[in-house]
Amino acid sequence: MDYNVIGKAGSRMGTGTMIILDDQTCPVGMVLNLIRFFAHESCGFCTPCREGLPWTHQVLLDIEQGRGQPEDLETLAYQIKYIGTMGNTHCALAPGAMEPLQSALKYFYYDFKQHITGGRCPYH
Amino acid sequence: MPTIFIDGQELQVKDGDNILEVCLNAGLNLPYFCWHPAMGSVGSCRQCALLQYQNEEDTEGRIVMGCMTAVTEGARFSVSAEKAAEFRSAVVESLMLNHPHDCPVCAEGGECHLQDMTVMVGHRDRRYTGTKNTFRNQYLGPLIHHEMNRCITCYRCERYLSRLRRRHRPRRPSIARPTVFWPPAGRRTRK
Ligand code: SF4
Ligand code: SF4
Ligand code: FES
Repeated sequence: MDYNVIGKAGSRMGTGTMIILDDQTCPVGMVLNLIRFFAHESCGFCTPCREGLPWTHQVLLDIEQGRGQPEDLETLAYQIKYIGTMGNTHCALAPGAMEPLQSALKYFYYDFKQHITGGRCPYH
Repeated sequence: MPTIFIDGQELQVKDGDNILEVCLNAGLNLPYFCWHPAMGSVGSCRQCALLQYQNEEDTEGRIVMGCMTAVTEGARFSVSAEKAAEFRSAVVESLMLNHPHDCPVCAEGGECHLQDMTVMVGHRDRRYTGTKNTFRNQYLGPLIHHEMNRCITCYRCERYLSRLRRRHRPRRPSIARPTVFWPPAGRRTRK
């Protein structure tokens, strides 16, 4: 395990911590928790991160609580590009925050979809 | 005098200027908030984004902030590139997430920098459906009227108070420097 391998998988080494989840844990809820953390941690200096992360949090919260709309997935993809591109923000916090979301959308797309079509979290 | 290229146009520019200043002097429409001629650049609003190309062959370019990029001989930029224009529109959309939508009754309406920049980037419909943050105003001395619910975080009030007008700063130490940017977004209470 090194920095490049984790980077290619769509995340960051960070403090080297791993969180292992079983198949009973909702990936949407997991990412929601991460985005909530990063929105809270944002120092507020630059616009895309300060305003964008709470917005992303709100969209994810809606999806997780069964109020998601089909266009929310487009909004998330848009936010990943806008907030998550290096250079768009002043520091690397915002791109780092968006990486788990973009890999979750890639690997657990069906779970996001299910939340929206079913109007509730299929895991509980 | 370095020569730079903006959207193919060759410009003779002053050494020491930044690209935002160059664009404004050349009459190009590049929006901005935090840069100010008397207070310089901080690079916080991310509004003055444009594309910079590595060389003549580079067609991709990458987003840089005009106010944070010094002129260098032969540098190539694009203001009109779609990627940059989309980003500038996204920044206005972000700033408007928490800004009231009451321009018709706002005292600044019609002579408002935010309105002008919004029209300039062409942003109209926003997708945010959440609630807006609300704040209490602070007393920032006799020279500044603080209207925090309309704040777009350009840091001009703080920079003005801390650098330019030492003489006119409020005396009470607790308000000698505005704390307009605290608590950060995630920690603000939502009503
Ligand atoms: S990207 Fe960095 S500088 Fe910008 S608000 Fe987030 S934490 Fe602050
Ligand atoms: S309150 Fe200060 S930081 Fe906010 S918009 Fe006004 S001058 Fe800018
Ligand atoms: S004017 Fe350049 S980042 Fe604000």
